[in-house]
Amino acid sequence: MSGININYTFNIITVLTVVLAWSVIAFFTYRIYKKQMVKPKIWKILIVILAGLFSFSIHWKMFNALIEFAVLPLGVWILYQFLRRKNGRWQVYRPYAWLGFFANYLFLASTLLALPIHEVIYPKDDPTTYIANLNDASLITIHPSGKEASLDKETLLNELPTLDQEGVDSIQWYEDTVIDIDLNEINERFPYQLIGTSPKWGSGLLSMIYIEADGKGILLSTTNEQLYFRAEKSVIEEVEQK
Amino acid sequence: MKKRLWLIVIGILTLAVLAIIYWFYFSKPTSFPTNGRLIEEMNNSFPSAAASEIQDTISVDDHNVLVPFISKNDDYSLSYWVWKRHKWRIASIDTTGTPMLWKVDRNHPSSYRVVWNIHPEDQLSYAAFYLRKDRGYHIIKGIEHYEPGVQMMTEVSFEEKSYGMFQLSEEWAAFMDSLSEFGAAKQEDTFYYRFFPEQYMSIGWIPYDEQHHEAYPERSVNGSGFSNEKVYLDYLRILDESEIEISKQE
Repeated sequence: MSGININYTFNIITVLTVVLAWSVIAFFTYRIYKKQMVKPKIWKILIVILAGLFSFSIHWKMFNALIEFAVLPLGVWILYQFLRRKNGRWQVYRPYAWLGFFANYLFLASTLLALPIHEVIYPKDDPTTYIANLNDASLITIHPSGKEASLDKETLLNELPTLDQEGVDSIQWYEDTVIDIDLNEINERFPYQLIGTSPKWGSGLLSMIYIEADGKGILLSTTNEQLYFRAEKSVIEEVEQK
Repeated sequence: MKKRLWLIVIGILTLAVLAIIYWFYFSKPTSFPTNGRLIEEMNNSFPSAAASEIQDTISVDDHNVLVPFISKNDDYSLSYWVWKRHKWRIASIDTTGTPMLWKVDRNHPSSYRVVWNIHPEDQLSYAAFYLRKDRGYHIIKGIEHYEPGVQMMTEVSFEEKSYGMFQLSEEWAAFMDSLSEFGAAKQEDTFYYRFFPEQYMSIGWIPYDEQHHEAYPERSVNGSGFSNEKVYLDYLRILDESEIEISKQE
């Protein structure tokens, strides 16, 4: 095992919908260009579209995604100030500037499209979404109450599809663990961490995975929430003390 | 004809500039300076170091060297050297020898080193280093979170030499890697996490004397420091045994 950890995760759905949005922009750019009598330089068109994108927008969070709703076409105004000085120039570039502004809504649509698709392909309550590949997986003991133990890959693989999801009872867990704040005899409920696993390809999902002391509980911290699963059999093996 | 000549001149100049840039920034380090040179350079750039005796030169890798030394005031000190811009340069000098975390390559915890140079008068026999993260819980908008408490330990002997260095174990590095990757992903993902503070991990240590009692390294904690180049050094806090969790006996 080397120290270098190449764990490149990316969200393939977002990549695809953004590519789709840009293709639509390219299509409309081509339509406008074909209709024009005076044809501007291509690189100037690109700059005008990018500048047109610039806007004042309202941000809010919905379905764990950041939604940006463009309101004021700031880029279009700035371009107008620059381009109106020469007669007829604004007429040539205006459709591209507005196309840039409307591209904001295209990207919004692509976000709204990506969300349900991502949800269907990568179900968020399925542990196999986060733990898809165990080839480089291993167990580390992160608390002195944990024994020296190793991962039982085969059992984990068998258990993964049939895990039972249960509620995260955070306060109860904490209070069961820290009974007396002055006492430093403490058994951590989750003294192991599962490392080296990969999520489903293209999901772009990262998580921290903790294993319960009895080896049967899996606590998954995702970037949005925590999921707790119970297995029938322990997924760890205690290492014999020499 | 003239045009072609110009092209050749420009081509040669570009090559020369590229060669100089390569030599300046990317060429292999030359051999490490002699002890005499090291002392001279340290005392020139930071007179309070008052270096008088180099104890050792410990290579971390081709580009980073730790040099423990003793000063004229009998301080057991540490200096950090890096190969940069075609020269061995002093990155930092610290006249206290209290343990520090040297983040050699900040993005890769497996490159991190714990370094120290403890004064013999402190009579430390060994130390326990702890990687810790607080246990906690929180409920936001009905979503419950439980953060397991983390505590990993490594023991290091101070008996043979006053100074030393160790690389973080694979387990420590793996934990820190996963934590920092996850932290970066969370920041990208939502602004929901801004509502509560991130739980950071930290490394601390407990010094012990020969009788296995907690000790305080009086002589090694006071001093002054100096930094020249960008170098990431974290001070490691001395912990109290009462802060350490132990397994409950069933």
